[in-house]
Amino acid sequence: MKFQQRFAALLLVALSTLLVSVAEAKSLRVGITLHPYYSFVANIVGDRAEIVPLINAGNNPHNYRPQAEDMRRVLSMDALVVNGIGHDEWAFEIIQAAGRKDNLPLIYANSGVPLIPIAADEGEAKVVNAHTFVSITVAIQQIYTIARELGKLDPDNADFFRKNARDYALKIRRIKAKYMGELAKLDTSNLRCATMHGAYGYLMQEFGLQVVAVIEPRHGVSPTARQLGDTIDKIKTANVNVLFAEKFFASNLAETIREATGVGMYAFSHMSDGDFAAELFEHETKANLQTLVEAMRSINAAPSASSAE
Amino acid sequence: MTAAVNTAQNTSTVRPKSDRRETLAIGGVILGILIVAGVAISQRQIVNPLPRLFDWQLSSFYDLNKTDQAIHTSLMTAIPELWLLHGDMLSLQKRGKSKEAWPNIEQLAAYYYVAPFAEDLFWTQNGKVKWERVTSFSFEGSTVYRGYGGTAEQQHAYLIVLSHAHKGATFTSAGNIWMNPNPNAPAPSTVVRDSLIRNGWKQVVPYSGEMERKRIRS
Repeated sequence: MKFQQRFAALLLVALSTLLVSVAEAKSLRVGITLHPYYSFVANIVGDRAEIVPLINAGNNPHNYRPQAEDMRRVLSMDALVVNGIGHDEWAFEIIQAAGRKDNLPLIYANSGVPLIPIAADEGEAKVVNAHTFVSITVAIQQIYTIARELGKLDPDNADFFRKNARDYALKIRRIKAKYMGELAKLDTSNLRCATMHGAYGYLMQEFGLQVVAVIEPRHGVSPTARQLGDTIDKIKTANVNVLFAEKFFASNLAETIREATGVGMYAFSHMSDGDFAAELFEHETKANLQTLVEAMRSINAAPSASSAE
Repeated sequence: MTAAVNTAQNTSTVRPKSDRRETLAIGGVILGILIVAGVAISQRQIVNPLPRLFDWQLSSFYDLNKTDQAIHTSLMTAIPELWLLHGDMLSLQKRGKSKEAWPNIEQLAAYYYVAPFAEDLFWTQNGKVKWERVTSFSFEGSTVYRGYGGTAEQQHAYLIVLSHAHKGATFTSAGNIWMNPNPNAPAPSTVVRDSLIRNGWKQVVPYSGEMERKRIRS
């Protein structure tokens, strides 16, 4: 009898181990291109999928050149989450080079996102702003899209992904509500800001704030001397009082503009630096919103709007 | 090369041996280049991903001012949120725990912090639009939310029309946004398209990431 009990127990352990390993073997390997997508996917899948960054952390996604090891990584993926609207074009080169163009399911995070032009673009020359991941409202839409598409690839976990997506959306919406409350105590009517990079249009839009000028004429392109001169004139004419520069992609252009115009300078995170982490998006979003609050406080503390010039 | 000598006038005309052939050959080459270039250009034409809009439609990318564009962006994210909440409320309804099938504005604003319904900085900066859930259209299989009374310059009134085309699905994003240049446009009595158009409403066509993807990859 004892032997039978032991045998049954051993059988049960062996069976459980087998089931766990089968379940693990079945879990998706989901590739991502940009840091925020790591956070989104990590919060959606929990421990029921493996996340594989397509490129190593520490690279600038604006000018990334594909490496051989990227192709090795893409070969092991079951799906890849992409921005797909201009911020990770190198991913398509890697997919093509690895021969996975026809057999790698791509999840276009932005497929349902209503795009806006880069702030301060006027007329027919409007260019799409690809930085939908530096936002909260639009990020939520991407989170839902990713969860839905992952659910199609892994139907057994579709409900789990959907629930996690909703919980995560509410969590980051609460972050927004907290800072909305902070900003509501301040007078935001005097804010006239410029940004070095066109990355913050969606973020500013959801706080009802507008960007007067973007220094880079196009995504990742430095201005010519003449364009820089025009921008400095525009900043002076529009009484811009805050310049939001880049936290990680330092540029001495920002310092030049600050010296020429006397605007207050603050740095936003583009969410493209540091290690890939589930908490990165929340952490960097809080940092950006805290920066926004501090910028607003400094404007409020200034004797008058005109004296900021 | 051949030379023909005109002895009567003591002049001679020298013609290249193949002048006609050279002219024809050069003409042929030019024609060939033009044909190849024409074919190449026709093959390389960038497909315009934007659907051709009717005069009763607006492009979210080109036609909206910044306030309307900001509200449109938030409404587009609110649509999947509304469907998810609808799914929850249907489940509660089946268990007798809710009489409502769709969230009201207070729930959207205070509990779920959903823009543009929450009365926060975004709401203040974008015209303090008043929102209501219009329930009278349920017989048409649509649920409608209306935004009106916005105070920003040239602000529209807004309608979100959630259609039951995917009845039974709780995780869909089916919905349309309409705008009316009269910020106080009354709630329409029907959401039949032609009736909305007659009453000054225009459907907003978003420029989505899907369209941009097609443009880039075409």
